Amino acid sequence: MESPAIEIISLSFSYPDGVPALHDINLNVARGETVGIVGPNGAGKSTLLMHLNGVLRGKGTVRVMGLDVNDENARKIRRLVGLVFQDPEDQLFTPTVYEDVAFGPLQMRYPREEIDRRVRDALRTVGMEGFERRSSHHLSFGEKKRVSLATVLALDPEIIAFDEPTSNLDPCSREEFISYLMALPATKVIATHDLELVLQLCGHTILLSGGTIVTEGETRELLGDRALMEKHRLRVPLSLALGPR
Amino acid sequence: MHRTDARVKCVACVCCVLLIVTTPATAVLSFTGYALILLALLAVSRVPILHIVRRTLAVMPFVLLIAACLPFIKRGEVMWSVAWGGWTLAVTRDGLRLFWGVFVKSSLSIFCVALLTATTRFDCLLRGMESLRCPRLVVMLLSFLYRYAFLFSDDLMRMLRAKRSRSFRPARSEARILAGMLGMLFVRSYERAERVYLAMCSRGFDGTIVTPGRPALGAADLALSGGVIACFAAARLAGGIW
Amino acid sequence: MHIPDGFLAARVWAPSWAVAVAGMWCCLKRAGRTLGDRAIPLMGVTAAFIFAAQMLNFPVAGGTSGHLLGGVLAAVLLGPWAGAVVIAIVLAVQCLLFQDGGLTALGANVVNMALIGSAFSYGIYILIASGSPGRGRLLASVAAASWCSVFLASTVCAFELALSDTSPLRVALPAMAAVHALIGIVEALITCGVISFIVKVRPDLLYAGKGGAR
Repeated sequence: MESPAIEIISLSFSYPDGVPALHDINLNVARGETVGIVGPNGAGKSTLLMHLNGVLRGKGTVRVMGLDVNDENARKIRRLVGLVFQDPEDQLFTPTVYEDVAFGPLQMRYPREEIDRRVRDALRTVGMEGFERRSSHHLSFGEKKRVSLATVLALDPEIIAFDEPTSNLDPCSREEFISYLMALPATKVIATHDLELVLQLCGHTILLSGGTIVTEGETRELLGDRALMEKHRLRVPLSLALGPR
Repeated sequence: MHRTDARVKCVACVCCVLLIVTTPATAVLSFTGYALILLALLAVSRVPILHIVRRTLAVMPFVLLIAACLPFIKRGEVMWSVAWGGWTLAVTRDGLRLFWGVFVKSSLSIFCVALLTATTRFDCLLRGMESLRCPRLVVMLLSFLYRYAFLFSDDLMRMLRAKRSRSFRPARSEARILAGMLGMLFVRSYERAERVYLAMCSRGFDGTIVTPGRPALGAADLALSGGVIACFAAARLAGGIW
Repeated sequence: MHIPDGFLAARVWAPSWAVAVAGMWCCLKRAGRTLGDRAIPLMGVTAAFIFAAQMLNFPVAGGTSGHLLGGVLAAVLLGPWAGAVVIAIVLAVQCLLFQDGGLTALGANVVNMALIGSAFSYGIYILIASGSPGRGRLLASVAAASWCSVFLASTVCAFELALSDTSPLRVALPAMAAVHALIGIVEALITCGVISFIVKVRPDLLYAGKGGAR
């Protein structure tokens, strides 16, 4: 049988200062699936995403496409799992768009033509072709967000994890970004407060609260549970509350 | 000139500055030559002259310091003196020569560097430095500074505006508030650095910085910088002293 | 204190460049060893912070204003090695972007403000704050180190000018020292203000020495 895209077995993590962040996480994500992770502020959503590619390591097992996340597999894992950070300013850390998108492929020591091709393809996928020489500082927020996605796409990952992909975007940029996101064939994990987004994209949703998985299930069912949502400082999305579409 | 390869511009700029600072102060002809060449380059590059003049003002504090020293250089022939009570202030030829030399050299050097940075985007300049074997780590640090400095100064402006919107006039504890703001900014920049590190690791960063190869140099680029350096060297020779 | 081109003779700026390059190489190695891979983004982003912080004007008595130089601040936060690198990077960008300080003089400027003004002055801070000081002693040592950093850098600068025959030592030294003794007071006050804020909010961010809390 094909191994799942992501397999997490009893993962726990505490920050170096001793603050516990995740406790006994067990999780399976099938290949090609789009999964939502919802939960209140400070639930540990971002921390969990950081474990998918091993930049944070906790106690327990994380397996990606059948590979154990450890030092030995680090490079392979980083290529397989792309992380789109909440704040594009964190992800775009070089002076130009080209250098930002080329950073990953360069670290993989691809040959120059391959890097150029990957940068071009990645920028085209997010509708930012021709922006290579622009400085990242002077892009609009929506553009920065799309270039952030391109920096990840340049490595052609099998799994892409998004941290609050739609926060701070105006409604049009949000819709644009979602359309780019939907077109991606990769397995997607989306951590967000934007429950409408989860409803739109994710078949399966996980509710994370206080560093543990409270429950998981079919998205409409889970998000429609008023008592559960309000207990964890969430709200039933309007489109669901107003009855079936 | 804006399109010329950054590498040859860097090399030309460094050569010209070296020639300028090592020219003896008495070689007036050389300095005139340098100024004419630079003015010609300025005209070709269409950089506004005001930009250059403004940059030259940066040397003023130092020029003033040297000017203050003038009356104290006792050697040489006295050019001009004031007697005031029991004191005599005298300016000697040697002193004036020193003042002139320092002033003209620093202004021309600033002219050179300002011309370079006005015609070269900073990211191209960094790539150029890198191909010229400037350590990658240094280039990377410079590019981080360039990327985040303006983000932080925007942050600072926002904090200042937020402070102003809550206070009418400069408070007695103004300095303390401003220092707190810088403290806050540092905490934020530290957290930013942590997240940037995670973002770098996520894309395969393992402690070594990899950079793309260098493209070949065009003949026109080489000719331009070679020409500029040659003109400078000619001006230097014309001054009669090598 | 950013010396422009033309003020230093080759017999001063060339050796200064050599010292600066050797010093920076040493600092980069040590910083990498104490901070690991994180050193790269940390030093780069902190350099951006110092650069932005230097733009903030503090009101000083009599309608004048001063700003932070940041040598000791960077060293107290990131350690002497990374601190010196941060200041040198800021100086390089100021030289390139704003022509604040010359190309040939960059070596001397790095020696004065990064090696002496940051790494060496950190030694003064450690000397006074040795052990585990209370808040008072910590701030006092920060103030002393900051004042010394500015004062020492300016006196070395005066010596460099004198060695270049640009200005006689008996004029340059008292002039530079007097002006910078005052600037040093401003620097000490600002650095103390910033550090006391950070000690209150995130005391873990102060550099704790080799293999310390970080």
